[in-house]
Order: sequence, then structure tokens, then C-alpha cells
Amino acid sequence: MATYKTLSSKLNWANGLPEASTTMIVAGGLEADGSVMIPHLVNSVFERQGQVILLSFRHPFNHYLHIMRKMGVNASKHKLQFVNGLVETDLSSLPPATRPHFTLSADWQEFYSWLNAQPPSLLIIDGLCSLLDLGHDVKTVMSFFTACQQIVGDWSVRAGGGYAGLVANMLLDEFTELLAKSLIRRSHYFFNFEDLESGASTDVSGQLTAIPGHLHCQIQNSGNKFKPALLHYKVADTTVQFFSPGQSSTIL
Amino acid sequence: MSSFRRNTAGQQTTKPPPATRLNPHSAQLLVSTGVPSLDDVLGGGLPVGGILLIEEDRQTDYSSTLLSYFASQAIAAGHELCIVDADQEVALKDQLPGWASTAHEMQAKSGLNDKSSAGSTPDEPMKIAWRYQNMPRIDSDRDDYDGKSSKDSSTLADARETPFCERFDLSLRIQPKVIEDATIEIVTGASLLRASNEDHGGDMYKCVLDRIARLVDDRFSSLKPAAPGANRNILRIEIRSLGSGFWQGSDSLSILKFLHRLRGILRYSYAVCVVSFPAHLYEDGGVRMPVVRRVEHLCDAVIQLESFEGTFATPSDIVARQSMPAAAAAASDYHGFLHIRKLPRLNSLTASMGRLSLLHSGGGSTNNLAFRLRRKKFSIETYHLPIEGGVTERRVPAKDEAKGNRQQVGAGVGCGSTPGRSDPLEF
Repeated sequence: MATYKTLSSKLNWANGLPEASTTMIVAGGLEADGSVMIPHLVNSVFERQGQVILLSFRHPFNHYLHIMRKMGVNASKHKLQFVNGLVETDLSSLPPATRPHFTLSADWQEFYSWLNAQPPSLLIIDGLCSLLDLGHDVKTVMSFFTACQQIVGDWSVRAGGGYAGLVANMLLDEFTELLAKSLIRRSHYFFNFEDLESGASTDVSGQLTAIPGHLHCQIQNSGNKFKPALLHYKVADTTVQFFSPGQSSTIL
Repeated sequence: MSSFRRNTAGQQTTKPPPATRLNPHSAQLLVSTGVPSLDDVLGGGLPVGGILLIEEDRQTDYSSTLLSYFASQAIAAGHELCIVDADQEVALKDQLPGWASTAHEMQAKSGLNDKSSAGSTPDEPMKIAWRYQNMPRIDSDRDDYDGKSSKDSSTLADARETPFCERFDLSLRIQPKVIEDATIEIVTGASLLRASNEDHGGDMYKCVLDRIARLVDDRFSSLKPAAPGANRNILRIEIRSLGSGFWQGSDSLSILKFLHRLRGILRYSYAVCVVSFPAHLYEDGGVRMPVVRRVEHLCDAVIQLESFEGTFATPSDIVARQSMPAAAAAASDYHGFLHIRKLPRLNSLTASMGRLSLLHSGGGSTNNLAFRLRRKKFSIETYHLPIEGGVTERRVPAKDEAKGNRQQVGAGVGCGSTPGRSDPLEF
């Protein structure tokens, strides 16, 4: 996972992660998907012996396990809990390795109480904007997000807890613009993955813009100062390389 | 030979479904769309459990050609087929192209396909374009690409029985008896409207989704173990013109709910879905509505057909263009552009197209793809600009014509020459 080091050093993140109990919004487009951040964050938490809860509205557990295995992350050795938000059917017949630990139903209170009972973890929500597709309005989605944020805040207060944080990955377009703007107001960091501004290239998959969110000024630890950055990246099957514009290893 | 042998007695060996292969990079089961070049563009085929969205062109109907290939491939491969069309009744006998491989097999058996009988077999060494000898070919008949990948996969045994992609001929029609023997479920306009009114309060999306969910749950769910001795099969779902004016939903977001739930059902099944979508109906003042982008996000692969005839033209323009011989000749090379909006990324962060595609091997030509519909087949090719002036009109005068012209010039007053006499120094 050495390829993410450029990203971490550019953002002034020690050990590849921001301060505890921070909220990050990752947005992507049709071809430039922000889910390339997920393996990096999961691995960084595992290196700290922390735990991860992954709630996905987009893919089954198997999809993430395949990707992480190829990137050298053995999820079975660490504490990764998967919450299925894709289907409401019973998935208990799946093999234990790919069986979700919890299934999100129409009643979100069940999920909140299950989440509250978990030890401090990094909560990753992949495809938060899918709630809009299911007919919920922005206000309802924001209330879901705020509830998750509060639980993560409670985890941080607990004594002797591990790393806790919240990451929401979504697809940014005209339909989800209002949701994205509302989320940025409730976040510390915003990462926007988009197609290369200068046009398509075989050596560069896209560009990442990292900017502070509205809550960034509330971060107490001023030692690691976050710098807004524009980076290019190249996604391969087993690695994701981040580099400064014009510094692609294949070009140089 | 080593004396150690792996004990495989206890392991259960499940046979993969017919006419499928594994993508070696993502361990994803693939099926063919029926068009080899489209399979190539998608990275080897359509992933099982995925949705391919075809954005229809404006005035023409090339997307239905792709859908008919998909349905014919289902019948050829022995897959089950479900067709949903809210607009009109489906007449498969008149729409589906037949395949020509039966004749090829017979030729092969009788030895007619030998090197000696064929005029220019691909194995014969090339004398002129010898550099192209070792290049792979995109052809379903002798599909090197197919052969290479199927060696990697574990479907070698099946590949001998049922080819991954059949070779279709648009000038032929599939035999009615073959259609009758195939397992096809057709859900069309009138019956769909009746069923949705009776059980789902007039919501067609819910009605179709319910039907698909029941079908998948019956025989194609990956959550249920296969019956002992029974082989898995693939369900191909074809939804024509989803979201057109004939589709009735409970609200404006019904299409998004439908696609989200369909994706959930397909992910845990042995089913694959192709949806054609009239995106031009979702425009407001020439600008696409935001819902189109959401529809694209909810599908695993998105391609758009942009025909030269219909994209930015009114019907009167199309008629006028047909009467112009030069324009008609130029349009005969390609019929439109194929835009790739999104490629399948199941079990992977990257699309496997970049590594596997032959159409993209040149690099930098990612979006320069065009399609052409010939008499017998539909194909996708890398777009090249035509030769300047075209090949129909002679740009260099013929020998006799040139001589005549020179004599005509010679008859006038030349530079340093006697009138009426050809001078070798004449210019």
C-alpha cells in the first residue's frame, strides 16, 4: 500500500489517517469513482489494530473482499464488519466469509442500536446517495448521516477506544448536488474524484481535489495542518498511485 | 512424476453454466452479448449479475439490433430469456437473427473447410501484409481472443460443446421451431398493464420487478445451492425502452427505485440484464435531466449509440440527406459513434477492458469507436477518417483521359512549341 503514501504526505496525515472522530466526504463521478479511497482507509485502520464497519448500498461483501485481497489486505485477519444496504432479502445462506454481519432494513433504529453496541470503529458508508434513489429526500438522508455521526462521536468519548471516524462515499451529479453541499457543511474533509480536466489519458485515471469541510476549523490538533491539494492518480488492479500533476511515473 | 497427489475426492466439482467464461482478472463469470466486438469493448463479455444500459439513438433504431443479438445469443447458448417491452408486442420470429455456425460445423465434419479448399485461410502465410500475420483477429468465427481467454478459464469442456459467442447473420432469421423449444418469457404492453393494474396499483416498475424477482428466486438464485446432478443455467433479461412514455410508475423516481432493486436482485443471482433507455426523452430544452445521470450510475456498464443520421437531425434532414449521393456514400462506411460512458467494474477497481480489449490496444483511441450495420452483421470498429474525397470518385484521371487532355492543351498556344505539334518540353 505504499502508493497511498503520497496522498497521506500531501494531506499531512500521520499513519495515513486524519485525526480521530473526523468526518470525510468522498465524491466521485461516472468513470472516476471515489471508492479507490476505501482500501487505503481500511488498511490504515488495520495497521493501527482498529476496526472497520463498512455499510454498502452498492455492492455485496464479496466485491470488497476481492479488491482488498488483490491489494494485499487480508480482511479475514482483522475486524471488518459488513452491513448490507443493497438488498433486504435473507443472506444467511451465504458462506460465513462473505455473509454480512447486519442487514439494513426500513427501520433504521435497529441499525442505530446495533451500531451503538459496536466498539469504536471507522464507519464507511459506500453509496450514501442511493438513499435518494430509494425515494428518501435530502432531509431524511441528512438525518441518517447525522445519527451515524453522533454515534461515531460517542465512540470517541468512550475510554480506551480505538480509532473512530466516519467516511461517506457518494456519486456527485446534478441530482445529488444538494445532498453533497449539505454533507460538506457537516464534514471535516471533502475529497472530489473527477475526470482529468485536461482530457482523457491512458496514464492518468483522474484527478483528486482535497479541500477542508466546514467543520475543519473545529479540529483541535493544529500540529498536523491539512493542506488543500490537487493530485492526479492512476488506478491499477493491485495499486492506486497518487502523484502531483505532471509527475506520473510512466511519463517521467 | 511426483508421487504426491492432491486429494480431491471430497471436493464438489460444479460445472459452470453453458456459454460462459471466467474473467481471469476479477474472477467474474461472463456471458456474450452476441456481438464479439461489443464483448471486446466490455472487457470480454457481460458480467453475470450486472446491468448493461444502452442509450438509444434519437431517430433510428440501432439499439434494437443489439437487443436482438442478445436474445439470439440466449437461444443459441441455451440460456433462459425474459423480454420486457411496455411499448409493443414482441414478434421474435421476425426480429431475431439466425446463426450460421451449423453450416460451418457440417463443413468442418465433411472436411470441406480444409486449407486446400479455402481460398485464403487465416493460417496461410501472408505475402503482402505479412506484418499483420501474427495479429489477433476479432471474429466470432475464428475468435483468437475467445480462445485465449477460454484457456485461462475453467470452461474448456463447455467451450467445446457451446461456443461462448455464436456467429449470427442478420440476413437469416431464426427458425420458429428453435424459438418454440427455447424457454422464453415475454412480458409486453397489454398483459403488463393488466397485471400492474390488478396487483401493483398501476405501477409497472413494481410489477416487472416482482416478476423478475420470482423468476430469479425460482431457478437462478446464487443463494440457493444447485440441485444435485443439475447444472446451473443463465437467465438473460432484456428490457426494451425502459422509462418510455408507456411505462407507468407511482412517482417520478420509480425508475431509480426499480434499477436499484434490480441491481440488488441480480448481484445474488445467475442472471444478466440488458436495458435500452431512450435518454433523448429525458431532455429539457436540449439539456439532459439529472435523472439520466442517476440512471447511468445505477447500471454497471453504459454505452450510447449516436447515429449519424438521427442525432442532431430532424426527419426532413434525414430524407434530404438520403437523396444526396455523396452524403449517402460517406455514411455507408460507418453508421454512427459508439460512446462508452461506463465500463463494468464488478469485483475490481478497474475495468478489465484496458488490458483485454483488442479495439483499444492502440492506446489513446478510447472513445473513437464507431459502429456499422452491414447486410449480415453489426460490428464495432475503431473510427478512422475516410480517404479524402472518398473512394467512389476517381481523383487521378485515367491514362487515356490524361492523354486526351494533353492533346487538347497542345492544340492551343503553348510555351515554346509549334501549334498542333507535341513537344517533349511542353508543360
